[in-house]
Amino acid sequence: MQQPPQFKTSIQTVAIYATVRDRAGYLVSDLTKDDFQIFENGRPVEITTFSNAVVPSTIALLLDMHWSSGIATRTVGEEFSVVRDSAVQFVQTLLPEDRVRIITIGHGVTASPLLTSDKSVLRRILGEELWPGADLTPLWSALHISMDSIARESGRKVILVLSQSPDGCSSEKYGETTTDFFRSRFCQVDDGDVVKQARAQDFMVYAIGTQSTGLQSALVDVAEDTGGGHFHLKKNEDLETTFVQVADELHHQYTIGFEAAVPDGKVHKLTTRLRQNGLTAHARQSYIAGPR
Amino acid sequence: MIRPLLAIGIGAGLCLPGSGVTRASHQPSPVSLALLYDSTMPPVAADVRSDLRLKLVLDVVAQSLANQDIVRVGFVTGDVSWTRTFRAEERPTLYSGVVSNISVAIADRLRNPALCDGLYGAVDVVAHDEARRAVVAITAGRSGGNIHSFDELVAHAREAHVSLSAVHTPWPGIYSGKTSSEQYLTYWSHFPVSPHALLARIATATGGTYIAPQPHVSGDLKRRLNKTLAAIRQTE
Repeated sequence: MQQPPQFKTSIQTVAIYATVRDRAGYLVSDLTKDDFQIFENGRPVEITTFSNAVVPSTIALLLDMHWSSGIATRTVGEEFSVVRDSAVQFVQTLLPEDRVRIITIGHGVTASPLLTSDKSVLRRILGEELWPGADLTPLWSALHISMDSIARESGRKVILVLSQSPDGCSSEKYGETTTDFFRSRFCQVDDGDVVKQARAQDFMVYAIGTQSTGLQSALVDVAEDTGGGHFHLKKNEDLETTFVQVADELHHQYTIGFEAAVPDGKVHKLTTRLRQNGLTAHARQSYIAGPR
Repeated sequence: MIRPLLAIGIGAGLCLPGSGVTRASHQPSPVSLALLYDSTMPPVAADVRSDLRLKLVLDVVAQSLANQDIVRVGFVTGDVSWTRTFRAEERPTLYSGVVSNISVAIADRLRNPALCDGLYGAVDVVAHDEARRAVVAITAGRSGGNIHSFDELVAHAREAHVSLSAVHTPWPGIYSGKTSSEQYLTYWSHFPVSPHALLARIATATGGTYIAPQPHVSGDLKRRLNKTLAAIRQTE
């Protein structure tokens, strides 16, 4: 088996994790380095690292436990079970080397102290530590906390968020009142801060939105920019299937590297193209060069 | 292994309000109590000094202390902060002694408490005391961000011969507070796990006490806490 590449920190090598699909939407995982073209601010760059080996991930699994009646027409208790069981199934499909930290949005934000590849521990957490949400949803703050919780890990870092309610800091438009306490605790971070952090610390963000609420457009933008993905659950679609789809995607990505440009601290635009017709690549769309 | 439990009635030194003082056949052994208070329960935006529930709880506990009893109070959020040991003779100043020396950061309170780890630590707090060792949690029953599982907690408590009791304090909202017990139970019956089931499980497994809340009953918390403390004292 081909070994996944190591990215040294002395020279900034920009890591791109690319997902390739054919016209039918199937994952394609047998391409070579020559099949790819990477452009930085519109100019082609030399690919210095390439692999299609399966790369372990460090994942913050962020579960919004508010009920939106978004997963078909179930009771809140049934919705709860769907979320828990789907998350368990996601854990089951992970590689032995993948590590996960479970974070919940319910009564504020609660992060597990455990970042682990032990699936029995993860199942135990999902069985004992999920509770229905109360109060408002501090979405952006929770994403910030999630990224912080795995920021120092090496390799591919992924945020997978199940979003079932809009961010509470802008809740007036949803007919709720943001309290001063909530605002002081959770509204210091907005979507712009999350984008900056994701770029600066090389996160991939995957977002799953439930039917009635959907995904906030800013969250979709974050997922697009970081090369992750976003999924809007429609009626009768299965949350478990979507979770497994994310896991499958993570296990079929290409790892591509190139040397960063002048460390100017600026956002550099990235484009990933394929030479073959009929294939599409999905990858991060930017990075920050050098000092961050 | 749980110590054999022997009901001996209420001891001579017991000062539980509303209970008659009876003469026991022998002097009951003192109680070493770790009181774990869930600081993520409302009001989360206020200092502990303005928490009327905490005042009520500490007043009830103070009145129950007798003879050589000792109590420590822990406040759980993501971590636990413990007070020093208070002795029975400090009954009149228990509340002021606790709140004047404890600080629970408000920023840490808007989350689920690490209740399981807090209880695990509470077992350690009393584990080496030469007394009946008991932990009482005042909690809404939610728990998150734990290193230990509930199975590990139960095993740890049993090994240390510590009983775990819970006085369940439902939050106001759609599933508690203004609703009846029946409505509360109906709400949670749709979930695979509920706070009352979790608390009842650890209490039953460790020889402790769990009394289901009756939110619509005035003075329910005080009544249940008194019953819980009396039950601890009645076991030997």
